[in-house]
Amino acid sequence: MRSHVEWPIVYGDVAGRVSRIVAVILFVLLIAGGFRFELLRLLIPPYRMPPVEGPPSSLRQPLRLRNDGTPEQLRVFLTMARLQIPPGRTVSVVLPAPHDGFSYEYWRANYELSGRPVLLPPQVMHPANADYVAAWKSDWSNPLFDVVWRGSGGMVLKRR
Amino acid sequence: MIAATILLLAVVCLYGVPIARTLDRNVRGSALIGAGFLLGSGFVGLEMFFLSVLGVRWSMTAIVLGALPVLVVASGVWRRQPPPLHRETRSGGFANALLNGVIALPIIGHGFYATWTGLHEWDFFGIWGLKARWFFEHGGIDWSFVQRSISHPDYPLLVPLLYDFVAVAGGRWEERSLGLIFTFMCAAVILIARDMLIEEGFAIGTLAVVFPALNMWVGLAEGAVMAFGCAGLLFIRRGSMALGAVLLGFAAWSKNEGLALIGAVVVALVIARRWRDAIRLWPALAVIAPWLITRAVLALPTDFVDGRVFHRMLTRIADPWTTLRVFASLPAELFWIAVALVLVIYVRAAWTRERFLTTALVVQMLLFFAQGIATRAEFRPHVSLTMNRLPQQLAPAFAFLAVVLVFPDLIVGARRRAGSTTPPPN
Repeated sequence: MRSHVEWPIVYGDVAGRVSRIVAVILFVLLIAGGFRFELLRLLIPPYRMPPVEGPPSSLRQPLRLRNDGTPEQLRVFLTMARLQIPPGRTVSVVLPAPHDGFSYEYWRANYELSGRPVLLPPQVMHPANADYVAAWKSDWSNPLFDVVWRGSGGMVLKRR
Repeated sequence: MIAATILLLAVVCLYGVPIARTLDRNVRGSALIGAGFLLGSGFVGLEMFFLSVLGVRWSMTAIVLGALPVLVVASGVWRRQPPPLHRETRSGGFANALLNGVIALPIIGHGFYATWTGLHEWDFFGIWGLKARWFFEHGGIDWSFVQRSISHPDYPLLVPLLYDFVAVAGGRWEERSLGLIFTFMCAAVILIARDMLIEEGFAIGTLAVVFPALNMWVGLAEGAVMAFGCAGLLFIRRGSMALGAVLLGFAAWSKNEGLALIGAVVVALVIARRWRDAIRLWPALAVIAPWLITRAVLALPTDFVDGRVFHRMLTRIADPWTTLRVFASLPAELFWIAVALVLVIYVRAAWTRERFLTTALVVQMLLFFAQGIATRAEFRPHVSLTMNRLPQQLAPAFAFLAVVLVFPDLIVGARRRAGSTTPPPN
């Protein structure tokens, strides 16, 4: 970074000056274009992204730029449901709209219940095909299934 | 767990240093640290894979014992190597210390970003984290899960295996600390770029590479394919073929775009008339071969290349205005505008001085657009949800290319102003 160059100095030809100015502008644009203030803001307490609640309006940005949009109650439910369902047993996850289908929450349930094969969403495969059903904010019932746990707004049912 | 993970990843770096020196005796300085971490993590991932192939249940004992042969061979080769070539660089002084500090701040910020909460990207739950956590429960790769899972069974496993490595070492599954893998990978690319820019005589150019290298998609494989891919490109640009090729192999182990990158590099080497170097890329194929064999043996389906891929491409190419409108609807980012401006203004220099790197990056970028055109999914949403991430895989290499194209004008300008015939040292 040390330089022998002494300033101010005699300018070279015009073309050289123009090319240097263009190069400086482009270099500054490169730095400015890549700059991410979010990363520097995290160096200051509380070392976390500012609280922005709710699901993102677009998936174009990384989700961790904002708070986890999944309801806290659902997260706790999935963690607790995992404890009720032994590894290797199949499970169907019943969720209300807008969390139903191949939703973000469906895949989250797959992850939280890893080790326990999660069937395709109820719209595709009937929950009664599973050994267990994890139903959240749903009154799903079936005479072949008994409730084995209730809590966090949901219940876990086991095939008799 | 965070501090323990930092220590663990530092050990991974130490493990990779002799491997890096074995592959290139001239790699040193910050590039050695960066390459060491990338190679260390790549080899740890391979080791986890082969332990599962052999039916050995994952444990720290098995991992350490499995790492020993590689470490012994690499250390032996390193000790017998002639000393590295002398390199004339000036990297000391207050200005460089200041530059290092400026570079370190966003990296530390990325460390906070990667760990401020658990990983919760959609594809972390649907692909990368799901596989990793399932394998962790299983004590190794569950081949039946790989086959029957509907979450992209053809995707390579290095990233899930690295998650598992951290979990096995920590003795439990803890999401927050997993994000640090990506911070280390991003930092590795920055260290490599920094060392090479010092060689070029333009250390301050690292400032343009730092932020593009700090990949924000923590939890997905983007950061890994970016780190391995861009590091591989930079080493190959410098002529370090074995090291660059192995890194490209690990890029292919990270995500399918890494496999495409190997093809792009072959094309670029041929266009740059580096025929022999194209052949010397064989280690990349050797590294990825186990996964390609696994894919073939398990007949893992890919949802991308099916019988109608050409039909879809032709249909969309036949309607160019609609296709262009979809791509044009992507938001313009200042960084990419700056890169495009550099490539246009310095097109001659790019072709004469940086033909390999320019061609490799442009070909790979065209492949990103091609995958959008070929997608089986709905065209517009697919492009919108992939073209925000895929170009980031190449961002640090594009930034590096732009810097090395621009900087001679900065230096020459300074030289003219000084009336000197030698460029000022950095």
